[in-house]
Amino acid sequence: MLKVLLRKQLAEVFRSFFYDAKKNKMRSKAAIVCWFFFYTVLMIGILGGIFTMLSMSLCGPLAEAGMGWLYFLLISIIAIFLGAFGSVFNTYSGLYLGKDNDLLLSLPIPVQTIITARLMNVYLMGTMYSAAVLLPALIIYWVEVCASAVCVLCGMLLFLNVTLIVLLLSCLLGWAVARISLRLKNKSFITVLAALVFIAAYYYLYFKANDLIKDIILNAQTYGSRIMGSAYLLFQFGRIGEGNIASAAAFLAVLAVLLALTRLVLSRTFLGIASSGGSIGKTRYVEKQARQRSVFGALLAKELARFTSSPNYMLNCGLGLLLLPALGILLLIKGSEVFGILERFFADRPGTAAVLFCSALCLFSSMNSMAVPSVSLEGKSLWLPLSLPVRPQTVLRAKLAMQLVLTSIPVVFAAVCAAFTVPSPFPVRLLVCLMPAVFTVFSAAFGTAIGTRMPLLSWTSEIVPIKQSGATLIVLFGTWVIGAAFAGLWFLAGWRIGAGLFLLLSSCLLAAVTLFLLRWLDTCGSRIFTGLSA
Amino acid sequence: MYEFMSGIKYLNFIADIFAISPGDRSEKIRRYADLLELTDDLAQPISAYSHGMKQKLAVISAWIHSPRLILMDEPFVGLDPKASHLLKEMMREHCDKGGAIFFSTHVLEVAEKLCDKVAIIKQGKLVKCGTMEEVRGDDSLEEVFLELEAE
Repeated sequence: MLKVLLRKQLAEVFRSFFYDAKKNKMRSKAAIVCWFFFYTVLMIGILGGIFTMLSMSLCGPLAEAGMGWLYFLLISIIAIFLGAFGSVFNTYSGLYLGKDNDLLLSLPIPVQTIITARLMNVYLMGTMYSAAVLLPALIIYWVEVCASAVCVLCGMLLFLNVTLIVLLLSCLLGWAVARISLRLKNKSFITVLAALVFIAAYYYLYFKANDLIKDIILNAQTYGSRIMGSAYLLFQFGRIGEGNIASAAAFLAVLAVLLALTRLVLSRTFLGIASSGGSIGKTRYVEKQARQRSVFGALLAKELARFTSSPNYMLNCGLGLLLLPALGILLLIKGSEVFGILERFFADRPGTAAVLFCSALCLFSSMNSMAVPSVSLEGKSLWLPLSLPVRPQTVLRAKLAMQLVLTSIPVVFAAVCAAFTVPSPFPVRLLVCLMPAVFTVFSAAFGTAIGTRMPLLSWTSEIVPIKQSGATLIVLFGTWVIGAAFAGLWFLAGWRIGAGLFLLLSSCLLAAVTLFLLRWLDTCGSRIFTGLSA
Repeated sequence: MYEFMSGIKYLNFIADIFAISPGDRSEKIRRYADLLELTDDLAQPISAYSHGMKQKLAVISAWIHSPRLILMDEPFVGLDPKASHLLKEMMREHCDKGGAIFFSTHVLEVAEKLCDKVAIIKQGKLVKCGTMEEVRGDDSLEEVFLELEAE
């Protein structure tokens, strides 16, 4: 039974390698091989490569200082972090949100068998990530320091210990997220917030990594003695990699007991969590007099509700909502300094800073692309806008307006901050505000047009139209290229006419293209939309 | 249906599209949701609705703007017996007031009891059409249907 369940789960995990969700059909053999090759390159070549470099910089100095255990401890912590914390939500969904929960629970399969199969899946995922960190680190230690049989054996035991800790933490975190999630009301926003915190922490650590490594190598003795003094267990854990079999066996025994207990707890609580619709209780309906909206207002409210209902949609198409205000604040704090540097650097081309500020605002504004997948996201509900008495022009304008409503305030804020920072004549400051505003309208019109021209309506997961469609790719890179081309044009010839005139002409050109796109949406775009079928 | 909306938001969306005044829509939502026993669930997201609840919501959204003609595809699928009975009454009332309902069904007893006129379609072609008496004659609708099927 366990074997059957495991085979089913593995087929699910690697489904995307065999099945094309966009075209809703199986991939060709060549495509399957390519996908596996791509995944292997990604895991071993890129992820493994990053950690090989890290291991190479840490291994030699620490081993020379007689602190191989600190090397293994640090690498193990990174492997555990990547394996367990990187997949908290995946563990949660993998354990509890399986679409086949009801089916499996209705079959004569013991709950413990279902849990064991699910845990094996979690173990496999965690091990893949941990291996990308730990295997290069072990190989480098064996090559550079010691490759005796005991060292290799203990290295493998360390790997086993780390993967078991990852499994244990994944289970506990997944269980905790499941318990919390049952009580959450605004799941979408909290998921987005948690993902953003994780991304921010990741980039903070990424940018600080070099300093941290240098600090650890320079102060290895101090940190080492502190850990040995106050966290002796961590010291023993690190010693496993150096060839301490007793530590390896002791940790394995403790982990085995903890895992058995965890499995017991999960099995006992699985039925309650997996079959619960949430204990937040039913929202009580209280009759209220609704405010009557216009047709456009109703469609716009619907688009906004769609955006805020999906963490995937918000995270992938609305990053500008956070980045634009952050850029504005950064400009207020550091803008004058940056302006001074740029003006000195490009002293022969005065006004460069103002143009580059505008270019940066345009690039940040293009991080908001919620209009692009909005047509595709109609999916199986497409019959509604097509059968309701609304003009297709109004439907498309509502999609465009949604992006404008969400982007205009952050763009205006950031642009005003930029204009405030730039010590240029008033007309140039005004244009520093105007140009990104025009670009925002252009970006929304361009996104809606491409989204209408290249819709993807037969999706099975919303992530496909949001993240993986051709329309998204074209609009994202297209707007980046236009934003960058604007700066390139300045350096090429624009500086000859001055920043003010250059910004004015660019704004006019962009406005003309935007008007053309709006006209296209009202005519061709509307005809295309009317002819769509899911 | 927009599953990301709650039932009441969906009904207000439809009411906005058809420019129903706030007073009128409140009165109709209250009346039909109470009748179909959906009032308590109106604040729930549609994604949490059962098939039957979605059917009820679709019925309310069709009735909310008082159309003269209503098109329905298998309207009784997924409804419990009580809701099914109530919907039949709503349909009858609508037609008695001068409206018309054009609906498809495979449950011939329902068609026989409910419809004033009936049309039988075979492989996409209209093979019989008329008042119930004209189509049925002295037989039951099921017998007529089976005869036409056999031809």
